Amino acid sequence: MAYILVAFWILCALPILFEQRIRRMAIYLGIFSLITSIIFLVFGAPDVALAEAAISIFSTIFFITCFEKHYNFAEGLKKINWKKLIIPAMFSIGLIVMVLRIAPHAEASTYVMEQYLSYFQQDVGGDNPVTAIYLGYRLYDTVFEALMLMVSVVAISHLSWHKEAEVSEESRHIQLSRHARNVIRIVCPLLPLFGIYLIANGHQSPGGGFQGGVALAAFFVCRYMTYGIHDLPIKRLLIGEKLVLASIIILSIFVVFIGFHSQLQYVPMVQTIYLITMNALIGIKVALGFVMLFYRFIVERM
Amino acid sequence: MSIIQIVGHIVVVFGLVFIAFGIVGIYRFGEFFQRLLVAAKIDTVGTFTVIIGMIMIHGLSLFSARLLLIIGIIMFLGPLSAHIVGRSAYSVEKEDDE
Repeated sequence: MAYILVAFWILCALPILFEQRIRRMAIYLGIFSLITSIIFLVFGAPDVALAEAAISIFSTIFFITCFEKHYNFAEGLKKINWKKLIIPAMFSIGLIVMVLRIAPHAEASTYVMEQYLSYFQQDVGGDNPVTAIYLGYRLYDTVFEALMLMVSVVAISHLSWHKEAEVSEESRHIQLSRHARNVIRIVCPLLPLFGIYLIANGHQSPGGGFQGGVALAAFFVCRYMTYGIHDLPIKRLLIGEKLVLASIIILSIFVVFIGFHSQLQYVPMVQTIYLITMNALIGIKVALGFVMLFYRFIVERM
Repeated sequence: MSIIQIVGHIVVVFGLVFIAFGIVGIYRFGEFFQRLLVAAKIDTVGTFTVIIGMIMIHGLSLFSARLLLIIGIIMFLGPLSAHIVGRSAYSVEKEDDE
């Protein structure tokens, strides 16, 4: 059953490549995504299947709407030979029936979860399974997530380019009231403390690098809102963020390709040092990224 | 289950009802400031009631102390954020009118 589906899947991918008419291409892409979601369902991942189905529906509607805007789809709709649509309609109905037949019997496989939960303390260390997953079992995902954040920060900072070398007047118009400023003054020193706590205790309690980094960035935002200080150099922040990302990647390559094959991996001290270092690096990276974004919007100078 | 715990469960349900009414209110009200008022109600009243109920369920423990700390922070900062948002929206609107 599964192999037939995979073969069918590849067959459905071919028309996307060889189709010249762009609307049909979008429809074929939708069919391809539907079969992908059935395959996910057969292999025991109903959550991924649901996500894939939702994405395929959204993207198909999105493409069709775009073509309608662009090519005046309503006039083309009158010229359609409706008899030609019988075979695709039967095909779609067949696929839906297949989904309905498979869906009640599919079960989620949870053996990976059980394995993670029972072995994470000796494999990766720490008491927090979430940290163990994102810094141990799923390290590649974390590296790619950090890279995605980096790419979006770079994109925003380059797309919102302005040539004025002045502090923008717009951001100065809205002044905080006296009470708000006083309360933020009280809260402001607590924020870096909270961030450092989250980063340093990320391996044994809720928290971690990403959350701590956001708390650290909130400190700089509060500092600007109360005192009007915005003295960090944006260009150096960008370079620093790249350097921290490079060190995250180097550390993770070192850990994955060298550490995981030696006995050093199972020493609790080494595990703790690794987790705290990784959390601190991720926290610094996230904080630098968010501070840079904020400064980019208030200070129009690069 | 003692009587205090049963009362605690009822209080948690009351808090959830407050939050549900708040969410309905966000969609029912049309104007920005009315919506802001309802959203701030969810932040303070709803969360406050739910956490009070959880303290009653757990009794006197370290967990309850942490929850009390969270209540303090929410009471301190929730109205402040609504105040900042409302004030900046008001000043922007006034600038547009001029």
